[in-house]
Amino acid sequence: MSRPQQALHALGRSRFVDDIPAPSGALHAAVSCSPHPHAGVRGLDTAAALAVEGVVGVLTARDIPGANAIGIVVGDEPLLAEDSVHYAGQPLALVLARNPEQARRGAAAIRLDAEPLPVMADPRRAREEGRLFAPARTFGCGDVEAAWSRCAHVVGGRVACGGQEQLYLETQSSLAIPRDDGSLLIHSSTQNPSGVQAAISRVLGVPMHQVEVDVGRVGGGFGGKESQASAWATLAALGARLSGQAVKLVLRRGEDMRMTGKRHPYQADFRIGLDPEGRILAYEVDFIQNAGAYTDLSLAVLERSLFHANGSYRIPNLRATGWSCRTNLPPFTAMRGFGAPQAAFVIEAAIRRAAGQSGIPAEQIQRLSLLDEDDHFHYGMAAERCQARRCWDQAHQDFGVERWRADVDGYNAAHPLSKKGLALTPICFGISFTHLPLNQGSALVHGYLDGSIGFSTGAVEMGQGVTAKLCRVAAASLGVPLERIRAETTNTTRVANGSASAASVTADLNGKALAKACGALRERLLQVAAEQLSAPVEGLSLKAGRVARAGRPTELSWEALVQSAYERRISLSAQAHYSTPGLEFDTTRQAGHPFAYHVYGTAVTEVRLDCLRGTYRIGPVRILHDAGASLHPEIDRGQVEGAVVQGIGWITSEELIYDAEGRLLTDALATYKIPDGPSSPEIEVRFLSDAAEPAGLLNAKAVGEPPFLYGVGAYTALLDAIGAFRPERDSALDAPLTPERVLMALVG
Amino acid sequence: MIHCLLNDEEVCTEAGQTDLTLTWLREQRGLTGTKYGCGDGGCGACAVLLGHRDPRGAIRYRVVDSCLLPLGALREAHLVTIEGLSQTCAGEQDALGPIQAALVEEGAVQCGFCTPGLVVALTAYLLNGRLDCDEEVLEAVDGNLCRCTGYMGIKRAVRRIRRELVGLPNEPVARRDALIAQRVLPPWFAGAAQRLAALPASAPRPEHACIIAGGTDLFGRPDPGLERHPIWLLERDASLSGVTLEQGRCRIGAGTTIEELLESDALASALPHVQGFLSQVSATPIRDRATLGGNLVNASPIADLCICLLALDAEVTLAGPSGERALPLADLYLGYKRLAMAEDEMITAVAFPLQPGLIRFNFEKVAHRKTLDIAAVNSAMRLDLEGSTIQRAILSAGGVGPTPRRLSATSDWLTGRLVDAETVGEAARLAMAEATPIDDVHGSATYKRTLLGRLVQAHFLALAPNADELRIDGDTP
Repeated sequence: MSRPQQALHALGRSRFVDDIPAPSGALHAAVSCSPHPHAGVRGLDTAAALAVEGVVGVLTARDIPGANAIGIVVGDEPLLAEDSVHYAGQPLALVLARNPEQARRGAAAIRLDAEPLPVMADPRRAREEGRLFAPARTFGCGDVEAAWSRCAHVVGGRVACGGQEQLYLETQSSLAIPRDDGSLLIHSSTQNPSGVQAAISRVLGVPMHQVEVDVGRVGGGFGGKESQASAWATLAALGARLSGQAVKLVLRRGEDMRMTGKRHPYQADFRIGLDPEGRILAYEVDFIQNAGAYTDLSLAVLERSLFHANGSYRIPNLRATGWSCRTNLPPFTAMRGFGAPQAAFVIEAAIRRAAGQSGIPAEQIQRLSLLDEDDHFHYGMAAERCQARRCWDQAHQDFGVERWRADVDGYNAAHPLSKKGLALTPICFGISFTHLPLNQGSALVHGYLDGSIGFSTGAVEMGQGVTAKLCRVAAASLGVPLERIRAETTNTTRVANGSASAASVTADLNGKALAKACGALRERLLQVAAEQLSAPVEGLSLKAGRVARAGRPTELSWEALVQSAYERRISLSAQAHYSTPGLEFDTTRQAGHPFAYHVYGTAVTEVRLDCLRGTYRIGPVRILHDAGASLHPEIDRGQVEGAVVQGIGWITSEELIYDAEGRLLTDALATYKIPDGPSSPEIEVRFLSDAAEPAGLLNAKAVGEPPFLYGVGAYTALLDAIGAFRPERDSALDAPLTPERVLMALVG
Repeated sequence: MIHCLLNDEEVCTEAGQTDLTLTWLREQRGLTGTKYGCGDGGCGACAVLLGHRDPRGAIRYRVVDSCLLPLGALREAHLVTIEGLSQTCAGEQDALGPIQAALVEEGAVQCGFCTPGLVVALTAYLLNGRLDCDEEVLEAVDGNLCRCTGYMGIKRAVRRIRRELVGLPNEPVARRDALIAQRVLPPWFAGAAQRLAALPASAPRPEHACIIAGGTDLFGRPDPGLERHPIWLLERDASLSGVTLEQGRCRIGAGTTIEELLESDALASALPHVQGFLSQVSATPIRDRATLGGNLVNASPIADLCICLLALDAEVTLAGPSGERALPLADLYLGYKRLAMAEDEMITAVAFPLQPGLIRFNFEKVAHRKTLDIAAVNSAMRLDLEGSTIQRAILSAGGVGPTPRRLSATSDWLTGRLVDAETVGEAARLAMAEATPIDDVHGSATYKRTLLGRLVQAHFLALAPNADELRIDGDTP
């Protein structure tokens, strides 16, 4: 199929926000931010900034005409700080200048007169002091206390995993253009156009219909441009509104890394109990989430950790409790997986520790406890069309895991200073926004008189290939070739109140809305065809650009049909709305049916460890993934490959290091290490066959986030390799397993 | 005034020498296909081709990061951006060249932000690469990060390109013409050398100019004070580049780029495995700009080349107003970023002694990644043996003190010892005791000290003829 987006990228012709030519007279903005992680603000001296050549204005909280609040869930986060600052990097003022350099010089000249206050960086201490964004929340099933005594092995421990910078290659960017009637057009690199629109409306004190947000494409989001694109778009809008000029605000890499939120670091205490064979009978886990300075999406992220506390396992007695702890770091936010990776990490670490102490192989514990059909999750929902064991068994068979394990053992016996490790990682991920109202989407389709079709939905294209999937949906529904279909930009004026492109459900929600809209248009057109052909409508369909009767093409072409419909004054446009059926969740019982379906899969990960230097090589990674009846296998393969490498980065090389004051030290690509090509593994992806999912889009399953969890396999495989070198070592090591952590573990 | 060829156009600009090419391309020339990703050479989204005429008149193109490229480096050069490479199929809207088609069709393009840089890097690879050798396919794009694809699509694309373009001639002009015929390059590449030769010559070096070589570290964090000095960028000064072996010494011009060292047959013949060591230095777009002299005067305590040359007992030639002087490299570093050279001196060359037969030399570097990364600790060792007795050992290490260091106490202790397990263990212990690392983003002091001990063991494993008898078992010394 033609993939015009990708071709434009390869030609260097695609425009991201910073590539859109700004109107003449456009101003450039830079943000002055707090150097203090926690302080009372005595004053903000902007005079020096105004004296910088090219600077035309400085805006502070006092200039905000509406509400100084951008929090997406709770309005606790100011756009610009007022009386106090709560993290280093918190925006204080916006400087407008003729060019970006002048704006940056101006921002650097602003002086904050502040009284430093005690800094809280440790979430455990924050929990002790009750600095929580909400009371602790517990999910569970069975009776954990009663179960311990029935367990043959009970193992406890403590483990931590780090945060993760989304590191979209396009930094946060926005361009705000004022129009003659006072309304604004905003180009924003956001995953959440309606969220940006709402934030701007609130901060400027203008109705939402005066704010049009348009998103052509986003250069990577991974959750970092969901809630956290709003601040930058809103600042640009504020500048445009008050100056009357277009304002462009594009963050530099260091600014973006220091000022925006990342995946939440977690600490966890766990206890796991096994029966004599190794089945998990009981599991108790406390998630201590470092949430940063403001609520942002932290409570929803924590909720998903609680949902996914069981990993891919049936655990009859489970209790998971989460604390969202307020610290003086930039508010942590969404990132691919949204709390599930942390939960998966903890249970896999717990299984390794239990394996080490009980002598039961980890693989046996995993296999015996895998979810089966009709098993119940601890939140009450049954596992329907459960593919966990099918994926595991087929991975075992297709990838020859038994022989692979024997090869690894043979290698280890022959190499005193080099050890291989092997790990299986079954995954399970629930599909739907856990915030019920977000599970809706809408679409608008226009047929034009020449037979071409344009559609709009709330889906943002950020590389995940949603556009190509949606084009397939429209083409299949209207029976026209893909070339006749154009996906329009995502625009709040054409499609209102859209949900963020997030939670892996973008194709599901928008695709189903689009299928409904196209279906309505199709039914209308087939009525016209029935009249034209003097045939009953029941036998008619649209196929390969023609009307078909009993499956055979007729002389009536799509173009002639469209023309005929127009002449009969039949609407060639359709709008439709979709909401996911069957979702409910009772937050008093913490039980219900929160997900449309679950995605499953199993990864087999090998690592090779250099036991002298503590360095390692990850791979190959072989994955048996459940994509339902994939709508677009090439795109889905790319999503799986990309997600697993991001997951490996999170669990191995990506390390956020802060100084004692909570300032990020790893604020550049020179110090924050995402995987590069040579360090990334060979990956083989196979899709589970016969896995059609009726609740998915055209029987396909969502694919964006679940495969991120496979990355945990790099951690468990490294533990396996470390164990081959130092069998006596028994510890659930903290992540990321950087070469430093690995070497220090090898030293013992 | 800087005259250059930008894609298919002669261009003259009055912008400043140290203005960054990326900003100029995007803001002054409207060429937005070249992307800003990080501003410090860490991602390759801003990659461009920079071509200079070689002594025979053909143009040699290199992939460089335009975010670190001062405009002054463009004088008499051919700068090619993604827009230029996309002219291969002028007139055919959206028609893709073979590199672009491979990337698109093999699933190497997701969000697309890194894609133009990948196309540029792969073009450089096809222009310069040894396509017949069995190297890791991703070395072709070792300076390009992608956050979306996990690199598998890129690997498939590179493998396909190698397959499709097998049998390209090695001679540069013939290679260029073949790539034009294959629609990898637009036809105007054929006339570029002539047009470059016809550009007005640039002004000579100003008096008292601040001389900058490479600048791959400097321009990541440009010093506003730079604008106050007259600047002279050392670009391809023949008198300052190249490797020569003479009178028992290997002499390297300070202006030689790291990539040129990697390609040097002379250096490879003097120092076994040197290519393996040098390929661990950053990544191609940085090695194409960074120079040996720049690496030494930048005085990073972790500079890879510096660590190698310390163990090779190198000395530097310093040229100043009163002539030249030689200084042992080990004496160049007085403290953190403090050098034993005067403001008006510059390093013109580095030389190290050869010996008849094999030099036993090893370099070790440990970082989070094998490429495009900074070491936590790096270390080099030269070992001269008589049988299994150490005649002389020189051990150096970076990341374990304020300067690149020669670990003299350990080196001296090793002289006259037998290479055996005990010696190796004691050497590792001594090196760890001699090291004075600090906690920083590259690792804790404890880690760096431990790692240094391990790297000393690794040196012996690599260099000792009886390595398998050393019974190194990974126990910490």
